[in-house]
Amino acid sequence: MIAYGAQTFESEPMGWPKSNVFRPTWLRLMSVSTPTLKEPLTQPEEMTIHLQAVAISQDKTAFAALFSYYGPRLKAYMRSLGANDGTAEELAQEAMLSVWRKAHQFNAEKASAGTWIFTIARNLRIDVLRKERRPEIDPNDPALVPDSDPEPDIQASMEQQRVLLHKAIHELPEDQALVLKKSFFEDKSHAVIASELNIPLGTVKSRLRLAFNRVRSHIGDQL
Amino acid sequence: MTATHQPNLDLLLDYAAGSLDEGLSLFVASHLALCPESRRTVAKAEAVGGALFEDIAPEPMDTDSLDRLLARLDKPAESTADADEKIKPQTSDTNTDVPAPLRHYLNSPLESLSWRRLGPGVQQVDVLPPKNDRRVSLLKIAPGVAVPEHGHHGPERTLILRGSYRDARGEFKRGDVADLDVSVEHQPIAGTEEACICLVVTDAPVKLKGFWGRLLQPFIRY
Repeated sequence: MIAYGAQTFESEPMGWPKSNVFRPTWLRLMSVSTPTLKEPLTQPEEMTIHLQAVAISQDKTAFAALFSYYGPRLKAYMRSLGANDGTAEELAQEAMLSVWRKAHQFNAEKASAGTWIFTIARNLRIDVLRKERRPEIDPNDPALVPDSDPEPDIQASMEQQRVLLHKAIHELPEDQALVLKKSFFEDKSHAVIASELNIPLGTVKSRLRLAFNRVRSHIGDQL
Repeated sequence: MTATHQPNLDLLLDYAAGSLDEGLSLFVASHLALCPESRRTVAKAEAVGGALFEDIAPEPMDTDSLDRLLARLDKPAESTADADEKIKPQTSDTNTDVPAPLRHYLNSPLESLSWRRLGPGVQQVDVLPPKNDRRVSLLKIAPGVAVPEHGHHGPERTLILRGSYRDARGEFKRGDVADLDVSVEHQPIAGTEEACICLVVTDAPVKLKGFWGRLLQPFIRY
Protein backbone atom coordinates (compact mmCIF):
# COMPACT_ATOMS: atom_id res chain seq x y z
CA MET A 1 0.00 0.00 0.00
CA ILE A 2 2.60 2.45 -1.09
CA ALA A 3 0.99 5.76 -1.92
CA TYR A 4 3.70 8.23 -2.73
CA GLY A 5 1.96 11.56 -2.99
CA ALA A 6 -1.22 9.85 -4.12
CA GLN A 7 -3.65 12.51 -5.23
CA THR A 8 -6.46 10.20 -6.26
CA PHE A 9 -9.02 11.31 -3.68
CA GLU A 10 -7.92 14.90 -3.46
CA SER A 11 -9.63 15.93 -6.69
CA GLU A 12 -13.25 16.98 -6.82
CA PRO A 13 -15.70 14.12 -6.44
CA MET A 14 -18.07 13.05 -9.18
CA GLY A 15 -16.53 15.21 -11.86
CA TRP A 16 -18.26 18.44 -10.84
CA PRO A 17 -16.65 21.55 -12.30
CA LYS A 18 -14.12 23.29 -10.04
CA SER A 19 -15.90 26.59 -9.80
CA ASN A 20 -18.50 27.00 -7.08
CA VAL A 21 -20.75 28.91 -9.46
CA PHE A 22 -21.82 25.78 -11.25
CA ARG A 23 -22.25 23.59 -8.22
CA PRO A 24 -25.59 23.06 -6.54
CA THR A 25 -25.90 24.42 -3.04
CA TRP A 26 -26.20 21.00 -1.42
CA LEU A 27 -22.79 20.02 -2.78
CA ARG A 28 -21.20 23.28 -1.68
CA LEU A 29 -22.63 22.79 1.79
CA MET A 30 -21.48 19.21 1.84
CA SER A 31 -17.97 20.15 0.91
CA VAL A 32 -17.92 22.64 3.77
CA SER A 33 -19.50 20.47 6.39
CA THR A 34 -17.61 17.24 5.66
CA PRO A 35 -13.86 17.03 5.71
CA THR A 36 -12.20 16.64 2.33
CA LEU A 37 -11.83 13.03 1.33
CA LYS A 38 -8.21 12.02 1.75
CA GLU A 39 -6.25 8.89 1.13
CA PRO A 40 -6.22 6.56 4.13
CA LEU A 41 -3.42 7.13 6.62
CA THR A 42 -0.19 5.36 5.83
CA GLN A 43 1.03 2.86 8.38
CA PRO A 44 3.88 5.11 9.58
CA GLU A 45 1.36 7.93 10.03
CA GLU A 46 -0.85 5.67 12.12
CA MET A 47 2.19 4.75 14.19
CA THR A 48 2.89 8.39 14.95
CA ILE A 49 -0.69 8.73 16.22
CA HIS A 50 -0.31 5.58 18.34
CA LEU A 51 2.93 6.91 19.79
CA GLN A 52 1.22 10.16 20.75
CA ALA A 53 -1.56 8.14 22.41
CA VAL A 54 1.05 6.30 24.46
CA ALA A 55 2.65 9.62 25.40
CA ILE A 56 -0.59 11.33 26.41
CA SER A 57 -2.62 8.56 28.04
CA GLN A 58 -0.37 5.48 28.44
CA ASP A 59 -2.66 3.76 25.97
CA LYS A 60 -1.73 0.07 25.99
CA THR A 61 -3.78 -0.80 22.91
CA ALA A 62 -1.84 1.83 20.97
CA PHE A 63 1.37 0.44 22.45
CA ALA A 64 0.46 -3.07 21.28
CA ALA A 65 -0.03 -1.68 17.76
CA LEU A 66 3.39 -0.02 17.92
CA PHE A 67 4.87 -3.27 19.17
CA SER A 68 3.45 -5.38 16.38
CA TYR A 69 4.77 -2.97 13.75
CA TYR A 70 8.13 -1.94 15.19
CA GLY A 71 9.05 -4.99 17.31
CA PRO A 72 9.91 -7.17 14.30
CA ARG A 73 11.80 -4.25 12.70
CA LEU A 74 13.77 -3.68 15.88
CA LYS A 75 14.62 -7.36 15.99
CA ALA A 76 15.77 -7.27 12.36
CA TYR A 77 17.88 -4.17 13.09
CA MET A 78 19.60 -5.87 16.02
CA ARG A 79 20.18 -9.01 13.95
CA SER A 80 21.79 -6.96 11.19
CA LEU A 81 24.17 -5.54 13.80
CA GLY A 82 25.32 -9.03 14.73
CA ALA A 83 23.07 -9.97 17.66
CA ASN A 84 21.90 -13.60 17.72
CA ASP A 85 18.20 -14.42 17.69
CA GLY A 86 17.78 -14.47 21.49
CA THR A 87 19.72 -11.25 22.07
CA ALA A 88 17.92 -9.51 19.21
CA GLU A 89 14.57 -10.52 20.74
CA GLU A 90 15.60 -9.16 24.16
CA LEU A 91 16.96 -5.93 22.68
CA ALA A 92 13.80 -5.39 20.66
CA GLN A 93 11.84 -5.78 23.92
CA GLU A 94 14.15 -3.38 25.74
CA ALA A 95 13.82 -0.83 22.94
CA MET A 96 10.01 -1.05 23.10
CA LEU A 97 10.17 -0.65 26.88
CA SER A 98 12.16 2.56 26.33
CA VAL A 99 9.53 3.67 23.82
CA TRP A 100 6.89 3.20 26.55
CA ARG A 101 8.90 5.07 29.17
CA LYS A 102 10.20 7.89 26.98
CA ALA A 103 7.10 8.44 24.85
CA HIS A 104 6.54 11.83 26.53
CA GLN A 105 9.80 13.03 24.93
CA PHE A 106 8.50 12.33 21.42
CA ASN A 107 7.82 15.45 19.37
CA ALA A 108 5.89 14.74 16.16
CA GLU A 109 6.99 18.09 14.72
CA LYS A 110 10.63 17.10 14.89
CA ALA A 111 10.66 13.48 13.80
CA SER A 112 8.47 10.66 12.56
CA ALA A 113 7.76 7.77 14.93
CA GLY A 114 10.09 5.59 12.85
CA THR A 115 12.99 8.03 13.13
CA TRP A 116 12.49 8.49 16.86
CA ILE A 117 12.36 4.74 17.50
CA PHE A 118 15.42 4.25 15.28
CA THR A 119 17.42 6.64 17.51
CA ILE A 120 16.28 4.77 20.64
CA ALA A 121 17.36 1.44 19.12
CA ARG A 122 20.68 2.90 18.00
CA ASN A 123 21.50 4.23 21.47
CA LEU A 124 20.42 0.99 23.11
CA ARG A 125 22.68 -1.16 20.97
CA ILE A 126 25.67 1.14 21.58
CA ASP A 127 24.97 0.79 25.29
CA VAL A 128 24.40 -2.98 25.32
CA LEU A 129 26.26 -4.45 22.34
CA ARG A 130 29.25 -2.13 22.54
CA LYS A 131 29.10 -1.30 26.23
CA GLU A 132 29.98 2.31 25.52
CA ARG A 133 28.41 5.60 26.36
CA ARG A 134 26.97 7.72 23.64
CA PRO A 135 27.33 11.40 24.49
CA GLU A 136 24.41 13.47 23.23
CA ILE A 137 23.41 17.10 23.39
CA ASP A 138 21.28 18.24 26.29
CA PRO A 139 18.46 20.58 25.18
CA ASN A 140 18.68 22.39 28.54
CA ASP A 141 22.43 22.90 28.36
CA PRO A 142 23.28 26.55 29.20
CA ALA A 143 26.17 26.31 26.71
CA LEU A 144 23.88 25.23 23.86
CA VAL A 145 23.92 27.72 20.98
CA PRO A 146 20.25 28.11 19.98
CA ASP A 147 19.16 27.87 16.37
CA SER A 148 18.81 31.45 15.20
CA ASP A 149 17.48 30.68 11.73
CA PRO A 150 13.78 31.55 11.48
CA GLU A 151 11.43 28.66 10.81
CA PRO A 152 10.49 28.44 7.14
CA ASP A 153 7.06 29.99 6.46
CA ILE A 154 5.66 27.06 4.58
CA GLN A 155 6.79 23.89 6.20
CA ALA A 156 5.98 20.61 4.55
CA SER A 157 4.31 18.29 7.02
CA MET A 158 6.42 15.62 8.66
CA GLU A 159 4.47 13.07 6.64
CA GLN A 160 5.18 14.82 3.33
CA GLN A 161 8.86 14.93 4.22
CA ARG A 162 8.83 11.28 5.19
CA VAL A 163 7.27 10.34 1.85
CA LEU A 164 9.80 12.45 -0.08
CA LEU A 165 12.65 10.94 1.86
CA HIS A 166 11.43 7.43 1.17
CA LYS A 167 11.11 8.14 -2.51
CA ALA A 168 14.59 9.69 -2.66
CA ILE A 169 16.14 6.66 -0.97
CA HIS A 170 14.39 4.28 -3.35
CA GLU A 171 15.68 6.24 -6.31
CA LEU A 172 19.33 6.10 -5.22
CA PRO A 173 21.73 4.22 -7.49
CA GLU A 174 22.26 0.75 -6.10
CA ASP A 175 25.92 1.23 -5.15
CA GLN A 176 25.09 4.34 -3.11
CA ALA A 177 22.09 2.74 -1.42
CA LEU A 178 24.27 -0.19 -0.42
CA VAL A 179 26.93 1.84 1.42
CA LEU A 180 24.20 3.89 3.08
CA LYS A 181 22.50 0.76 4.41
CA LYS A 182 25.75 -0.81 5.49
CA SER A 183 26.79 2.28 7.39
CA PHE A 184 23.46 2.49 9.24
CA PHE A 185 22.85 -1.19 9.86
CA GLU A 186 26.13 -3.00 10.17
CA ASP A 187 28.22 -1.00 12.63
CA LYS A 188 31.21 -1.25 10.34
CA SER A 189 33.89 1.32 9.76
CA HIS A 190 34.26 2.73 6.27
CA ALA A 191 37.49 0.76 5.96
CA VAL A 192 35.71 -2.54 6.65
CA ILE A 193 32.92 -1.68 4.21
CA ALA A 194 35.59 -0.86 1.62
CA SER A 195 37.33 -4.21 1.99
CA GLU A 196 34.01 -6.11 1.93
CA LEU A 197 32.94 -4.43 -1.28
CA ASN A 198 36.48 -4.55 -2.62
CA ILE A 199 36.54 -0.85 -3.43
CA PRO A 200 38.89 1.91 -2.23
CA LEU A 201 38.13 3.67 1.06
CA GLY A 202 37.74 6.99 -0.74
CA THR A 203 35.02 5.48 -2.91
CA VAL A 204 33.03 4.38 0.15
CA LYS A 205 33.22 7.88 1.57
CA SER A 206 32.30 9.58 -1.68
CA ARG A 207 29.35 7.23 -2.31
CA LEU A 208 28.08 7.89 1.19
CA ARG A 209 28.33 11.65 0.72
CA LEU A 210 26.70 11.50 -2.72
CA ALA A 211 23.86 9.38 -1.35
CA PHE A 212 23.22 11.67 1.58
CA ASN A 213 23.47 14.88 -0.41
CA ARG A 214 21.12 13.53 -3.04
CA VAL A 215 18.55 12.54 -0.42
CA ARG A 216 19.03 15.82 1.43
CA SER A 217 18.36 17.82 -1.73
CA HIS A 218 14.99 16.09 -2.03
CA ILE A 219 13.81 16.94 1.45
CA GLY A 220 15.06 20.53 1.33
CA ASP A 221 16.05 22.52 4.35
CA GLN A 222 12.97 21.94 6.39
CA LEU A 223 13.76 19.05 8.58
CA MET B 1 27.66 33.42 17.03
CA THR B 2 27.69 30.19 15.09
CA ALA B 3 30.45 27.93 13.97
CA THR B 4 31.71 28.48 10.44
CA HIS B 5 34.00 25.47 10.16
CA GLN B 6 32.03 22.21 10.31
CA PRO B 7 33.46 18.70 10.52
CA ASN B 8 33.54 16.45 7.48
CA LEU B 9 30.11 15.15 6.56
CA ASP B 10 31.32 11.56 7.17
CA LEU B 11 31.75 12.27 10.84
CA LEU B 12 28.20 13.63 11.23
CA LEU B 13 26.74 10.73 9.24
CA ASP B 14 28.60 8.19 11.35
CA TYR B 15 27.40 9.90 14.51
CA ALA B 16 23.79 9.62 13.28
CA ALA B 17 24.32 5.98 12.31
CA GLY B 18 25.85 5.21 15.70
CA SER B 19 29.13 3.86 14.38
CA LEU B 20 31.52 6.27 16.10
CA ASP B 21 33.35 5.23 19.27
CA GLU B 22 32.82 7.04 22.55
CA GLY B 23 35.64 9.56 22.04
CA LEU B 24 34.49 10.71 18.63
CA SER B 25 30.84 10.70 19.73
CA LEU B 26 31.84 12.97 22.58
CA PHE B 27 33.65 15.20 20.11
CA VAL B 28 30.69 15.41 17.71
CA ALA B 29 28.10 15.91 20.47
CA SER B 30 30.18 18.77 21.93
CA HIS B 31 30.36 20.40 18.51
CA LEU B 32 26.61 19.91 17.97
CA ALA B 33 25.85 21.83 21.15
CA LEU B 34 27.66 24.81 19.61
CA CYS B 35 26.54 24.48 15.99
CA PRO B 36 22.85 24.56 14.95
CA GLU B 37 23.77 23.91 11.32
CA SER B 38 25.45 20.59 12.14
CA ARG B 39 22.47 19.73 14.38
CA ARG B 40 20.20 20.10 11.35
CA THR B 41 22.48 17.88 9.29
CA VAL B 42 22.43 15.18 11.97
CA ALA B 43 18.62 15.42 12.25
CA LYS B 44 18.39 14.78 8.50
CA ALA B 45 20.80 11.89 8.70
CA GLU B 46 18.70 10.42 11.51
CA ALA B 47 15.59 10.79 9.33
CA VAL B 48 17.45 8.81 6.64
CA GLY B 49 18.22 6.17 9.28
CA GLY B 50 14.54 6.18 10.28
CA ALA B 51 13.43 5.68 6.68
CA LEU B 52 15.86 2.78 6.21
CA PHE B 53 14.64 1.33 9.50
CA GLU B 54 10.97 1.48 8.38
CA ASP B 55 12.02 -0.41 5.24
CA ILE B 56 13.93 -3.20 6.93
CA ALA B 57 12.61 -6.75 6.38
CA PRO B 58 10.85 -7.59 9.71
CA GLU B 59 11.93 -10.63 11.74
CA PRO B 60 9.07 -12.40 13.57
CA MET B 61 9.17 -12.07 17.34
CA ASP B 62 8.43 -14.83 19.86
CA THR B 63 4.70 -15.53 20.22
CA ASP B 64 4.60 -14.52 23.90
CA SER B 65 6.81 -11.49 23.32
CA LEU B 66 4.12 -8.82 23.64
CA ASP B 67 2.57 -10.42 26.74
CA ARG B 68 5.94 -10.59 28.48
CA LEU B 69 6.56 -6.96 27.73
CA LEU B 70 3.07 -5.80 28.73
CA ALA B 71 3.68 -7.43 32.11
CA ARG B 72 6.74 -5.21 32.57
CA LEU B 73 5.15 -1.91 31.59
CA ASP B 74 3.79 -0.96 34.99
CA LYS B 75 6.90 -1.84 36.92
CA PRO B 76 8.99 1.16 37.85
CA ALA B 77 12.13 1.73 35.79
CA GLU B 78 15.19 0.06 37.26
CA SER B 79 18.76 1.20 37.17
CA THR B 80 18.84 1.34 33.37
CA ALA B 81 16.74 4.47 33.32
CA ASP B 82 19.02 6.02 35.90
CA ALA B 83 22.15 5.29 33.91
CA ASP B 84 22.23 8.91 32.83
CA GLU B 85 22.33 9.99 36.45
CA LYS B 86 25.70 8.36 36.97
CA ILE B 87 27.38 10.60 34.47
CA LYS B 88 25.81 13.80 35.73
CA PRO B 89 28.46 16.44 36.18
CA GLN B 90 29.87 16.88 39.63
CA THR B 91 30.56 20.41 38.55
CA SER B 92 27.10 21.54 37.55
CA ASP B 93 27.70 25.14 38.60
CA THR B 94 31.07 25.47 36.94
CA ASN B 95 32.20 25.08 33.36
CA THR B 96 28.88 26.46 32.20
CA ASP B 97 30.48 27.46 28.90
CA VAL B 98 31.65 23.88 28.32
CA PRO B 99 29.11 21.92 26.23
CA ALA B 100 27.19 19.45 28.42
CA PRO B 101 28.41 16.28 26.66
CA LEU B 102 32.00 17.19 27.55
CA ARG B 103 31.16 18.73 30.94
CA HIS B 104 29.95 15.31 32.07
CA TYR B 105 33.48 13.97 31.64
CA LEU B 106 35.22 16.69 33.67
CA ASN B 107 35.41 16.45 37.44
CA SER B 108 36.60 19.97 38.13
CA PRO B 109 36.57 23.44 36.59
CA LEU B 110 38.65 23.77 33.41
CA GLU B 111 41.21 25.93 35.23
CA SER B 112 41.95 23.33 37.91
CA LEU B 113 42.21 20.19 35.77
CA SER B 114 45.57 18.42 36.05
CA TRP B 115 47.12 20.13 33.05
CA ARG B 116 50.43 18.72 31.90
CA ARG B 117 52.99 21.01 30.28
CA LEU B 118 53.83 19.95 26.74
CA GLY B 119 56.04 22.82 25.74
CA PRO B 120 56.26 26.59 25.98
CA GLY B 121 52.71 27.86 26.49
CA VAL B 122 51.09 24.54 25.60
CA GLN B 123 49.35 22.27 28.14
CA GLN B 124 47.34 19.09 27.79
CA VAL B 125 45.00 16.92 29.85
CA ASP B 126 43.39 13.62 28.86
CA VAL B 127 39.59 13.48 28.84
CA LEU B 128 39.41 9.70 28.31
CA PRO B 129 42.15 7.19 29.10
CA PRO B 130 44.27 6.72 25.95
CA LYS B 131 43.31 3.51 24.13
CA ASN B 132 45.47 2.02 21.40
CA ASP B 133 46.47 5.11 19.44
CA ARG B 134 43.22 6.98 20.14
CA ARG B 135 43.68 10.03 22.29
CA VAL B 136 40.91 12.36 23.49
CA SER B 137 42.35 15.37 25.28
CA LEU B 138 42.02 19.04 25.99
CA LEU B 139 44.75 21.33 24.75
CA LYS B 140 45.41 24.78 26.19
CA ILE B 141 47.49 27.22 24.18
CA ALA B 142 48.52 30.45 25.89
CA PRO B 143 47.48 33.70 24.16
CA GLY B 144 49.55 34.39 21.03
CA VAL B 145 51.56 31.16 21.33
CA ALA B 146 52.32 29.10 18.23
CA VAL B 147 52.05 25.34 18.50
CA PRO B 148 55.05 23.69 16.81
CA GLU B 149 54.34 22.98 13.16
CA HIS B 150 53.23 19.39 12.84
CA GLY B 151 51.71 16.81 10.54
CA HIS B 152 49.72 13.72 11.42
CA HIS B 153 50.11 9.99 11.17
CA GLY B 154 46.33 9.78 11.36
CA PRO B 155 43.38 12.16 11.41
CA GLU B 156 43.32 14.99 13.95
CA ARG B 157 40.05 16.67 14.86
CA THR B 158 40.04 19.86 16.91
CA LEU B 159 37.01 21.63 18.41
CA ILE B 160 37.57 25.15 19.73
CA LEU B 161 35.94 25.68 23.14
CA ARG B 162 37.46 28.97 24.28
CA GLY B 163 39.50 31.63 22.53
CA SER B 164 40.57 31.12 18.94
CA TYR B 165 43.46 30.11 16.75
CA ARG B 166 44.61 30.83 13.25
CA ASP B 167 46.51 28.74 10.75
CA ALA B 168 46.88 28.73 6.98
CA ARG B 169 43.26 27.61 6.68
CA GLY B 170 41.82 30.63 8.45
CA GLU B 171 40.58 31.60 11.89
CA PHE B 172 38.92 29.04 14.14
CA LYS B 173 36.60 30.18 16.92
CA ARG B 174 34.37 28.62 19.55
CA GLY B 175 32.32 25.81 18.02
CA ASP B 176 34.53 25.51 14.94
CA VAL B 177 36.05 22.19 13.98
CA ALA B 178 39.33 21.59 12.19
CA ASP B 179 39.07 18.12 10.69
CA LEU B 180 42.54 17.35 9.37
CA ASP B 181 43.64 14.20 7.64
CA VAL B 182 47.06 12.64 7.34
CA SER B 183 48.32 14.87 4.55
CA VAL B 184 47.87 18.20 6.32
CA GLU B 185 50.63 20.00 8.17
CA HIS B 186 49.79 23.08 10.12
CA GLN B 187 51.02 25.50 12.72
CA PRO B 188 48.17 26.95 14.73
CA ILE B 189 48.73 30.26 16.54
CA ALA B 190 46.41 31.08 19.42
CA GLY B 191 44.52 34.37 19.39
CA THR B 192 45.96 37.06 21.67
CA GLU B 193 42.77 37.85 23.65
CA GLU B 194 42.74 34.71 25.84
CA ALA B 195 44.12 31.19 26.05
CA CYS B 196 42.74 28.89 23.39
CA ILE B 197 41.23 25.69 24.81
CA CYS B 198 40.30 22.91 22.40
CA LEU B 199 39.09 19.34 22.46
CA VAL B 200 41.40 17.24 20.31
CA VAL B 201 40.87 13.67 19.08
CA THR B 202 43.77 11.95 17.36
CA ASP B 203 44.14 8.41 16.03
CA ALA B 204 47.93 8.35 15.92
CA PRO B 205 50.86 10.32 17.31
CA VAL B 206 51.50 13.67 15.61
CA LYS B 207 54.67 14.33 13.64
CA LEU B 208 56.41 17.40 14.96
CA LYS B 209 58.62 19.54 12.77
CA GLY B 210 61.31 22.14 13.35
CA PHE B 211 63.69 22.64 16.26
CA TRP B 212 61.13 22.64 19.07
CA GLY B 213 59.33 19.79 17.45
CA ARG B 214 62.37 17.55 17.23
CA LEU B 215 63.26 18.46 20.77
CA LEU B 216 59.78 17.68 22.08
CA GLN B 217 58.88 14.68 19.92
CA PRO B 218 60.27 12.02 22.30
CA PHE B 219 58.10 13.36 25.13
CA ILE B 220 54.89 14.18 23.37
CA ARG B 221 51.92 12.21 22.23
CA TYR B 222 49.04 14.46 21.46
